[in-house]
Amino acid sequence: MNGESPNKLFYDAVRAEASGDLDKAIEIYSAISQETHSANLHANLANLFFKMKDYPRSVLHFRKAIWINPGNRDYRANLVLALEMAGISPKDLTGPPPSFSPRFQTYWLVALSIFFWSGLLLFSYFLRPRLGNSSTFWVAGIWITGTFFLGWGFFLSRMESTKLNREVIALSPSSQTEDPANGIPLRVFAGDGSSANTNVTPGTSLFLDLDTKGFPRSHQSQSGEKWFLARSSSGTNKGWIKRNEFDPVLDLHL
Amino acid sequence: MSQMINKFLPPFLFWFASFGLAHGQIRVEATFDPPNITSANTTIYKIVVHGTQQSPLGAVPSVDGLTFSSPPRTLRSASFINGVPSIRFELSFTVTPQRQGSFVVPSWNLEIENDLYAVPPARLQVLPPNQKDKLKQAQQRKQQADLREAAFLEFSCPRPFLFEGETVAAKVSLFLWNRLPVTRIEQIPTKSGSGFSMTELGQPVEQRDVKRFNKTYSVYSWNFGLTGALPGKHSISFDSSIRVRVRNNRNSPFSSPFFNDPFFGFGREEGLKISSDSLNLEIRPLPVINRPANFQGAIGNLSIVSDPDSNRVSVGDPVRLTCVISGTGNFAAMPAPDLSFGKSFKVGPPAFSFDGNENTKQNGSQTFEFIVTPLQAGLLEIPPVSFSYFDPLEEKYYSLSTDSHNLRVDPGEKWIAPKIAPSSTASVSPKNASQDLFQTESEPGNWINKLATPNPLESNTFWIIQITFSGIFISILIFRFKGRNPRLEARKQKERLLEAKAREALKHKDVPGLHQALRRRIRLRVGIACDQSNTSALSSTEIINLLNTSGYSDEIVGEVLQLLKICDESEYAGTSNEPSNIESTFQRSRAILKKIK
Repeated sequence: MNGESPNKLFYDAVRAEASGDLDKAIEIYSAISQETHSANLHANLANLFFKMKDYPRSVLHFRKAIWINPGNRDYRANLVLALEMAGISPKDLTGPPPSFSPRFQTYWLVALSIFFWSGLLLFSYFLRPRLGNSSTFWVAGIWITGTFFLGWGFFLSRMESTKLNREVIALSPSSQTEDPANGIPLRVFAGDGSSANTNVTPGTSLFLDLDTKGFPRSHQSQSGEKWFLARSSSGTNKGWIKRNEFDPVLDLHL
Repeated sequence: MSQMINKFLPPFLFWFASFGLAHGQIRVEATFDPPNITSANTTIYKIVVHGTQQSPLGAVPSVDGLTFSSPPRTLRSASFINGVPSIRFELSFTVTPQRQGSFVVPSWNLEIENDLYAVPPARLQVLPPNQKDKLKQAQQRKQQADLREAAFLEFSCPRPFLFEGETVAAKVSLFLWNRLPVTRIEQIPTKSGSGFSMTELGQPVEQRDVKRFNKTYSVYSWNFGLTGALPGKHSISFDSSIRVRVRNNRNSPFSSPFFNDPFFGFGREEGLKISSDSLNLEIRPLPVINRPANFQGAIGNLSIVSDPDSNRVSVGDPVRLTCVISGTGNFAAMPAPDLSFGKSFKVGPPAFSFDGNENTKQNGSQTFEFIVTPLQAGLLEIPPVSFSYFDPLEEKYYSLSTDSHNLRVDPGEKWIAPKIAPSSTASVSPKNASQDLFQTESEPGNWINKLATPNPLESNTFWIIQITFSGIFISILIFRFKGRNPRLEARKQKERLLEAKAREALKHKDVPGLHQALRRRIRLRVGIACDQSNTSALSSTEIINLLNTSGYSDEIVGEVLQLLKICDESEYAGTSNEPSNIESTFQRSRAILKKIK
């Protein structure tokens, strides 16, 4: 950003957009988003891509904006519209209840810790475990049930977090107003010459496969292109996709 | 010898034909072989050209009632007859009679070596079929019937007629006889008939061992939605093809009763086309009388509900209004209801989604999601959504409308458009925006460095909790370990045993046993309470003195004394309580012991 503050650049982009220079506004917003993020930045960027009819990138940036500011209903309504314009059913947006959102996994874990330790201290100090004592039985039952419930909540939240960290949005290799005829191919092998298992519509959410160490499974071809193994949300369709054919929703080191 | 013949005979015959008889006399003959046939048989129309082996040119005249095969079979031959060399060229046409009677092929010309030669007329007599022919025809008919029963398509439509635009759930089934060696279904059924449209055929439903015509079949059924497209009477049928394995030495698998062929199933594959019977269906136009003004083509038995996702918003905030049309109908061709909400609302184009039987798209629910934006503040009413459909069974139009919904619209914040310097717009030509539903934020908001999910293990709160609670837990364990008094623990253990013993005695009405256990327990408890190590050897008087010196109240001391007296009398004097009183003695002892701590 050449040492300029993100605020100044943001205002420059707003002025560029207001003056009708959408390309320049996109360029500035994109440059800012390489360094830092804000909900308004990504929402404006999504808005611009929408105006430029690049709906898949609009979907991507609305997802980023919603991640930063999940309570904004405008973003959600606009995301639905962008998805529809991209030819994707908004039903794919339905996720778990907000309580199990990845952002709540720390709360679940803290609650689990407090509950678990409290029960343990109660038993070790105040209550002597005696078989046949009904009060002990009920307290132990509540403690075990509560621990399992909070553990389950943390587990679901953790799973959602893992899923979100693997989620990418399929994009056309270059910012273009018309989608490729057959969509983005998920290839059988990591190579341009390989046939496609299936084609996905740009803007579709895909999920990267992880290797045994927890990193995305990848392959670097002789030409230097990096390929990743991705699959659809249902998990049924999978194949290799080039790095320039998708962008992650969150910041990932790929 | 035979090798010599094979080697030298063909060149000799060629020379013989080319040079030896090049200038012989040419003569043409024409005959039917045999000249008399029954109508169920075929004959050969043979033309023999003597004196040349060059191919003649010409066309056989058409004869009404006879069919000539084309092209003819040809034969060149050379021979010595009585020492005279002879060459000839034969043309053989297979002739199939269409009817009985006497037929004559008239004289016609052949061009041979640039000269015209007349082919003499030939006569054929076609007789009525004899008994053998009738048997053969019956056998052929049976074979064809067997073939039709071996693999056939069955198409069923639930209604005798359709209305224009009406969708019904139809079914086409492919029956394959289990003994037919089918290798694969080459082509799924395709529709023939222009008056209808249909949904795509998906995966078939497979049924095994279905009985039909005294045969066992595997049946593949496709359910689909059939829609009447053009008014009028139309026929509809379905065609499919399968691959079957047949013997190698047969030209066709169906020229013989292959069903009894033990070798059937080995050899090459051949395609078999299967067609269903043609079904005539009438497509009637929709009645014009009583047609509602807002009817848009929905046909079926339907219901509609609407639901907004919020009942309080600010001006300009989108409200998602979901209209769900459910039931049975032509969902594939159903347009969205027309929303005329006036000037208070701006209504966007709806999003469609269908939930139901995807094969037929005839049964389920169609959801239309409208983005409705209130344009003014106040307590507004989202008007009812009206919808009309035509019921094809009752042949009537119905009009439905949903409930209205109250919507409270707050004024919200007024957005001030940024002032733009005139000079900045001069140099750049603005692009046409496709759609601008979004309001550009003019402030950046809060910046964050990274888009990432939180890692709970990096949370300070989590580690503070772990350290605090584990510290408390370890402290309790240490406290408990250090605070242990083995002697005291042993006494308490002994006291628990005595209580159990007393309960046991109470259970068996063992009065002396109960009193003994109570007396020992009282001694033990007094020992614990007054810090005396060995109280088992103390008399009752010494125990009372011990309690007095430890400062217990006279009431407690008196109760203990009384209880000890009962126990002593029972043990030493032989007097005892009645069994009915021992329960009260036990409860009394427990109450006293609770007071001695």
